[in-house]
Amino acid sequence: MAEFLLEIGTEEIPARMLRRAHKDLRDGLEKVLSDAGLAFDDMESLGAPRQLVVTCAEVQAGQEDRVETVLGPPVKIAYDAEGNPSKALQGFLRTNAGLNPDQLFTAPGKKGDVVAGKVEIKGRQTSEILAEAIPALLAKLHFPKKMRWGNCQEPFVRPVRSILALFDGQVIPFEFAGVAAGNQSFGHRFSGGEPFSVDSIATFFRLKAERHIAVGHEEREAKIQAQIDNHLAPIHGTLVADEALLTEVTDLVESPFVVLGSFDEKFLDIPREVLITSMREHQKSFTVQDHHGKLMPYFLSVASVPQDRQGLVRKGNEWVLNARLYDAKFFWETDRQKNFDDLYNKLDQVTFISELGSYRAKADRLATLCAKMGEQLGYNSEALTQVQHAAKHAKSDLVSDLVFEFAELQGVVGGLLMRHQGQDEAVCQAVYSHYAPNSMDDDLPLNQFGHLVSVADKLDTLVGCFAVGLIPTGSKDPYALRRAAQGIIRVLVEAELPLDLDALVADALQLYRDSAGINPPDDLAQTLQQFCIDRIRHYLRKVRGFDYDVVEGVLAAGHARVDQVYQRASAVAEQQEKDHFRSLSLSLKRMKNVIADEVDKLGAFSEDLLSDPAEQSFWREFTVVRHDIEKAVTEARYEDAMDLMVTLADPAEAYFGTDGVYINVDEDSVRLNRKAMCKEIGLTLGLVADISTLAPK
Amino acid sequence: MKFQDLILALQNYWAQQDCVISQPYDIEVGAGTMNPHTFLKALGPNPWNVAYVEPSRRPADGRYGENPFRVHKHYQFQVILKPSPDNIQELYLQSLAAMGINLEDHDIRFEEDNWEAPTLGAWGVGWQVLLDGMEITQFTYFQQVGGIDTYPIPVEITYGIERLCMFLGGVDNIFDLPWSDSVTYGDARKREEYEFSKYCFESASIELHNNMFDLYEKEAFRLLEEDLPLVAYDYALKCSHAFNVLDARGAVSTTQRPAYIARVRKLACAVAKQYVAQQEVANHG
Repeated sequence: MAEFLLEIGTEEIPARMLRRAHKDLRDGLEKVLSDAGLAFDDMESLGAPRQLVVTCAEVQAGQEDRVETVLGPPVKIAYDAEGNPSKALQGFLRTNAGLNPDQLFTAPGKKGDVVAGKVEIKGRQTSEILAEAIPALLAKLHFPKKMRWGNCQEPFVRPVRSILALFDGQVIPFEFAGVAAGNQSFGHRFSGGEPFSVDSIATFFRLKAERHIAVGHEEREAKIQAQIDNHLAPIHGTLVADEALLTEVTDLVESPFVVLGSFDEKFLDIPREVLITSMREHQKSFTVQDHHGKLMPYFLSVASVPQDRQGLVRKGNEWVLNARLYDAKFFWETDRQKNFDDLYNKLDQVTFISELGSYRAKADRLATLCAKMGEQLGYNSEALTQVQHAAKHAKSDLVSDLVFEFAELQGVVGGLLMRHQGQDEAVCQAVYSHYAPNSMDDDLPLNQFGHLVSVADKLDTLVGCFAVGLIPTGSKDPYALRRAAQGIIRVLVEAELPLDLDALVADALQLYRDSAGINPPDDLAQTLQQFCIDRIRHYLRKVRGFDYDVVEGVLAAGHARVDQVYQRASAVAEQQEKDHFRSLSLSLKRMKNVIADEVDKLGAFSEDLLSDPAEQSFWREFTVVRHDIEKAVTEARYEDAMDLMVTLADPAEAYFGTDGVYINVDEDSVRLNRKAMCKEIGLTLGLVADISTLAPK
Repeated sequence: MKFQDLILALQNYWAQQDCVISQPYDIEVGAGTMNPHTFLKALGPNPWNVAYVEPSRRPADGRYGENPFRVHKHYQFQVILKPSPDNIQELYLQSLAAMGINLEDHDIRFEEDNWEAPTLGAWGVGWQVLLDGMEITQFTYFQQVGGIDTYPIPVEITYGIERLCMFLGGVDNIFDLPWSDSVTYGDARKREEYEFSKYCFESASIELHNNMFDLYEKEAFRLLEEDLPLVAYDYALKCSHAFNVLDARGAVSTTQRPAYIARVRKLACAVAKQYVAQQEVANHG
């Protein structure tokens, strides 16, 4: 066994690509060794901006020699009449040099017996295998974007400048992108001295550390955390946590050094959201707050230096941040003066999607959609005015300076500006939060006006894109329509909005027909319906974790009231494991099968024609609970409805079970009447879900 | 640090690296990349090292000389090295040292930033270089110029010299920068900022610029037909500037914008194609 160490030295690899790259490199190397039949210990992969590193403490030094049986020509044609090797056999002996003609034997081939022999295969040295595999692996390594440089034809994520590749202390001889592997590594760019030789993993890490490079991201992150804590204690501050930023800066530095800087207190007038975004986006700096959550005039930047001897790093960052905040304050103060009606009018010049017109047209559609939803929710005229106002101005901040500068603050800026101008707080909150939810973990908008604007906004985009043929295919979804539909569904379910999704889609579609002169194909509503059902399915399965059968059963009983779909699924899932439910679903499955062939010609059911005691009993029991089931469903008490349904498990079992009633009698009137009864009972028992599909397999 | 000392230091340094010290182009451009010493010379197989200052006009960035950081015209220091040398990052860092920056006392980072110029059909891969959190340089390996794959690969280094100078001197207002011992940046340029802002935002004739755009475009294509791509390129630059003025003037709606950009790009790509074809003839006889 021997040590393996690989370091690809490059110019700075983008932070977002680093972790995936070193993991892929390790996985690739593990596969190379496994495929070659070599034993090895756990491999470790690490990386910093200018290096991808893989180490393995123990790798088998080479393959074992082995003996393999090789198959030759069929016995029939291997020898001539005199018993001498034929041309075919001579050829076989030539290609397998080292095969002794005296030690040949007969072995079964695919089409009869063939001549065979045993050859000894020398195992290859691990170093040789790696020398061949590593360049191929590097060439195939995935990056979101590759580049070329100099005269090199081999693309890679950034120029390759050095390769350290050792096996058992010896250089693995190969070349990649014009760079020959050697035993040299390097330290920090400015304080790491000259390149140095490495003979083992231990020296590698020791010398890297001495020369101010922390190769592992865990090590760097821990250092950053510790230094942040040291800075915060004396000023009694806490960090405004930002995991994504922490990950990014960890992979932007080789030698993390956290700098605490301050800025002019006058900038604390800038809204918190703008301050935080300005520091994060422009300076990749963390924000500091006091124990009451109020921002403090400090920031934390992570530099890639061993130390800040002269304090110049801190001073520089402060200078830059002050300039940035000067801009932000200027934008905020200018935007604050702007009249929202002017902003709204300017939206006329801003394209929403070229086929779908301007943002002002969109804002108008949102107001109409929100009014319709508000009416369905029984809003009074004041609430209707509020929600329409929020919808009309939801997009107005797109022409503000702040959103031009910080696109990710869209909505937030609108809400803040409206609040500053003393507009209705509920409207401000709605505008502020209407882009939510952006992901599955994201919170919903702050209030119900926000929920409606959010649904209207996403619905309008979804329906508009479909109407002009911008429909997602496979992995291509440039307008993020799946996410939009997912957002609609989440809001409808989680805000418990009693709105009919199909009707909403129809309304949105009609608005495009009326106002934008768009004539979508006739079957578009159906295409959209199917798209939405797929997203509901996805939401219930992947986000809510319901079983496939439950989801399908529930969707079979309707999808449009998405809020209820979720409640129905919960009620069914609750029952799913209970014996009575299983029994009932099995009976309903039988029932469905037995009436399937004649279900279309079934007429009215007549109680008078019932003759068998089991069917009379089933019907009687059914009529006892029928009204209560239907009432419970109407009142959305699905668990009660399910509880009532399962009381029919035993009479159903008696009716459909092996000793039950024979339905398919010859006499038409009896048979059809029995089936009609089944159909009628089935309708009521199918109100929450198609229970028959939930039968145990 | 004086503004002119910064320029002199950079010129001297890159002259020592065997760069042609060129001069600004005599037509309005938005960036040093548009100077034919970059745009055209980046193409084709012949090695090319050049450095020059480029006054770069961005009409929409004008602030009437009232904003301490934004101006309608700023100066870029532009370096092109083709093919990109293996030690290019080191060469670049030494240029900072040549300006008097002690590298060990500062945090210098290369953060991903992939440059793209849609009007030029050009894009590259690289970074913005940050000095203590301040963006000081755009560092790009050109992958395509004028819609044509580059080979060998040129590297472009563009320093924003006003900002660099402000940063090094701790100056908070661009107009307070000392240009020479006795003249400030404001003395030299403030009135100009006001007039050009006023012109581009309020006064420029929209009709005239629309007409000029069409005329320049027409002339450029005519010149291509006469196999004069270098001259045609001048008219492509004039188109680009006319578009920038119209844009600042608020005369280009967001729906029209992509069409204008596409027209300039088409022209730039046609010029590049013809230029490369001429080079091939010149190289292979």
